[in-house]
Amino acid sequence: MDTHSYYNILEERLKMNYDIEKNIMIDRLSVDLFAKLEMKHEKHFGPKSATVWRIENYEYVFVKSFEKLDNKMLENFQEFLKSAIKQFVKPNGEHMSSTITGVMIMDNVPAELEPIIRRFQFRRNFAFSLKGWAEVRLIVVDLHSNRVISNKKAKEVASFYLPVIEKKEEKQNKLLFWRKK
Amino acid sequence: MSALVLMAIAIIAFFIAYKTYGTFLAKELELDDSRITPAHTMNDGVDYVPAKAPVLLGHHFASIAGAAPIIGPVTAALFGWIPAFLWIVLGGIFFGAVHDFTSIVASIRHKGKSIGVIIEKNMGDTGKKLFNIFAWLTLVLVIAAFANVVANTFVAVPEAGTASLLFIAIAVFYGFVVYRNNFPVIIGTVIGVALLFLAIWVGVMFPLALSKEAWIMLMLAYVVVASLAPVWILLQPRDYLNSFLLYGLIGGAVIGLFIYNPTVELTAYGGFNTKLGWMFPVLFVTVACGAISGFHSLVASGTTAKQIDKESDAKFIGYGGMLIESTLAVVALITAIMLSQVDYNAFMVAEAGKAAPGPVALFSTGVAGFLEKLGIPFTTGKTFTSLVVSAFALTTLDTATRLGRYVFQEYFEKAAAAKGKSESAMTKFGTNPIVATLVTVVVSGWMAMGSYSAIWPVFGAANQLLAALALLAVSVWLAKLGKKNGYVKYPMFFMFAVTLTALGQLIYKNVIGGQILLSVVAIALFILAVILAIFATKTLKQATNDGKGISA
Repeated sequence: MDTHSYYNILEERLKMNYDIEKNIMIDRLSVDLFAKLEMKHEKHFGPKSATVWRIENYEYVFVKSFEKLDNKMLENFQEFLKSAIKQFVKPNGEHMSSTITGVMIMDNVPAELEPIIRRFQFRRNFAFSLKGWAEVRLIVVDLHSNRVISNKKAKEVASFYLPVIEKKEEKQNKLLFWRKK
Repeated sequence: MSALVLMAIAIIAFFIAYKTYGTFLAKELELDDSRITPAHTMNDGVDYVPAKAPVLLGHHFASIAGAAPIIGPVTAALFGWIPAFLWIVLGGIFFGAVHDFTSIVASIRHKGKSIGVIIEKNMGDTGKKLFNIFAWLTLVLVIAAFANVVANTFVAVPEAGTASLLFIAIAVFYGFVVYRNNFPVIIGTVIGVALLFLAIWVGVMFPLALSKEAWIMLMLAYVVVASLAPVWILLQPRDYLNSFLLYGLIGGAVIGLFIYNPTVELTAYGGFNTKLGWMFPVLFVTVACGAISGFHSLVASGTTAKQIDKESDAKFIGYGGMLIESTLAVVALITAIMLSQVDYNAFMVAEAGKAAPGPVALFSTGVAGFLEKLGIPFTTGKTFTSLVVSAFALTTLDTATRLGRYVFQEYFEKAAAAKGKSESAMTKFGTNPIVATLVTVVVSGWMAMGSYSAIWPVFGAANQLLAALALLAVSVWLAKLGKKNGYVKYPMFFMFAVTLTALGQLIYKNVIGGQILLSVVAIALFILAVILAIFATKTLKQATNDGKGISA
């Protein structure tokens, strides 16, 4: 599958629940596709303004294609994802979690980088988690072999980013989304 | 006589009422499934979402059921089991279920708006403002009443006190492990529930004996923290784990009740004038949620109405849901009336210098007897039941504190907006969430230090007044539509009569007894009730005379 086709498929999958922007500059990095999800859970008693409690969960997805990938480029992208927390996450009393998902697309992922991708983890607490937390998912899509290499945090959504999803995985992805909802 | 006879009478009566009176009401309200509900017309995937009737009944019932349908009937048994039983059954059928049912329908016809908005639309801004003042006073009473009841329970059942503190720690642990660290939910639940039973065992082994005042202070401190902390850390995991305790309790208690087959020992008629006061009106405000509860109209109109799939579901959920709660009230009553008068008094009547163990301790003892028939040791069963009921009471405390904070802040925000003084020191003070929480909790805590028998009837009166207001709103709405409204109007008159008489008596009693704060609150409620009653009568007369149809 080529990159353009993959972007079309991914946009189709994301547009159901995410707000999407394309070809934007974020923190001096050109991002091909940026998607944002806001989930707010509230409990009211009587009128809607009488909120008993409220929880906010966010996800910010940054998708970029690469012709090739080396250690330095991977590191730079990882640093970009970490810095995105500062830019996008607004911790407050109602903020529960924000997930920064970085998706790198290429034809062939160098084998020596796979362990580095899998080991990557970054998490930040706000006010000892009382104002929530932010975590980073790192996903690298190998278009040629229809594989996704991800860090531990991204395992739960890795199959969503497969270029070609088998029927069983499609069902699991839907279930995962509704369970999270 | 076997208490199961009363159970059977109640269930049969509720069933017949559902099929006959419920159907009559549905016809009077002209329920029409071809009329599309707001859940469909305003479906936003968030608040307005159609839900299947059985699922919605589950949500609705979980929201309306609490500790009150247990506490009220047990307390009211002082008047004798016949009056208490009759009011639970007849009150549930002709008052409570009607109140819940019509609140849902009125809300459906007003685009799913809450009863407060319906009041405002039909009775104007003045009615809404008075309603808001009343709401804060009622919430303060809720916190005081429930804090008092739970404190008495922990004094009487110190094992439950230990277990309850451990439960809080387990809930926080669960919240961090599952939400924060993505631990699998199912395994986490199994571990969480297992830890709860371990907490009960620890409680039995190491009961924590504190004074009532110490428990009240602890609970209020807990409520302040719980109402300000993120919900995923404490409130959500606690409520989630609570639900498993509740299923266990209901299942065990009902099965155990049938095996135990208790006999009725308590006095059939305890007299018109008892330690609680005169049967009219105190019986009615004491039973409270077991027969009719004003809080249900807020749940019904604020949430349930937005999810009704078709209009005919309102009967199942509104009318049926309340009858289920009345059934729970009968079970609670049975735990009281299976005791002799001496044993009942030992739980419910304070001795010199010592608070009575209270209704939760009595209910827990009764259910522990039922569970013993299932092989569960008595002390364990009693600790378990006390823990479950107090856990639900703490949920009510938490919710009431949060709402009380909201109402307090909103008053200052609106007052400031009206005067154009959003930056004044008073506005900043009043709208600060910590200040709003502390004021609400401190006032409640002060009242909670009083006696249970003084606080509960005032809370009951406030709750019943809210019910009267909701019935009033529905009566006015129906009158404006030119429809018959006797089935809500006469219950409304009765509830106003009960509430005003009760408040008058309670004011006198509390002034004589030196309960100053309670007296002030009761006086405020009385004035509010009179103003609203006069206001409502005028509006009702005008609406009836106009008889104009208003598109709902």
